[in-house]
Amino acid sequence: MRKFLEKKDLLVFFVFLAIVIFPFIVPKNIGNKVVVEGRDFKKILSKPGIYDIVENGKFLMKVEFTGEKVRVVESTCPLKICVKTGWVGPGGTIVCVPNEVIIYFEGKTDYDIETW
Amino acid sequence: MVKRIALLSVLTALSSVLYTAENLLPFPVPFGRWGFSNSVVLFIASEIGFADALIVSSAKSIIGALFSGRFLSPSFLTGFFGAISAATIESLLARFGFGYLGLSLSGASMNNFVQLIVISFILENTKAFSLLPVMMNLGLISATANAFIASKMGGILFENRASFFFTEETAVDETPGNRLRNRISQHR
Repeated sequence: MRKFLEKKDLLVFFVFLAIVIFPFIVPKNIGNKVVVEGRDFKKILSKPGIYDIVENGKFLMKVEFTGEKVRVVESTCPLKICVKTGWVGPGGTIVCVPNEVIIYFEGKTDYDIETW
Repeated sequence: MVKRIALLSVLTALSSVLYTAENLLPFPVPFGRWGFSNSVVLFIASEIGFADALIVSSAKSIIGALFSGRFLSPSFLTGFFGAISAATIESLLARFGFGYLGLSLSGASMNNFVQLIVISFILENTKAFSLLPVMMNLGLISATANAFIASKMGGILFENRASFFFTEETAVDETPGNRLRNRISQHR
């Protein structure tokens, strides 16, 4: 009969904890530009305002940007998970799976030139 | 062989019902589930074997998805591949003398990781991995609960003489799990 807790389990537990804590240790490089990335478009928001996100002439969602925070005001996806995510600050992301849209803050790069 | 089929079908039914019933439980973030049905898969991977765990994990994903009306949706795909990978790594580590908690934690982390890989394939973008810490924190709770449920399950199955054993003999050393494994392996 297998026991609930063995000594070996502590090893697994600490590895698990390391994975959980890892993102808090890594220094974040946070910019103040928001990138809205879809399947075949990429839009960079730098000024505050409310933006309509349109893909191939099809309305997907409305995104509000205040300069520090971002939220999805309304969306055409069925479950409205991106709307329920609410306000997201730097370092956070909003993912909308049905519309295949990802909204995130662009990190500051240490490079002057980006070869893309 | 017949006993093995009976046991697997009962466990699959239990797991599917758990999968469907946990949709009624509230979850802190909108896109997740607690995943208590994986406790059955953990028990099978620990006590019976790899092939059976694989069968039950895939069957409960498909049947549960048919019950709750999300067959072939993104959430079904993530759950399906996550459950299969969790069953694989639990069966692998069960041979090295880990306890239920270690098996459950490794299965949960593997499950989350594979789910994020599947989401990345759907989105064609690796930004989805920023959800990993949230999933891991909530996975810690449900993994502990799953380990507790699975550790109790063998005793309950054995106490009730789970009618597919067709036997009346009592255990010599009160080891239901090993006894169950021997019973099953005789009919391979």
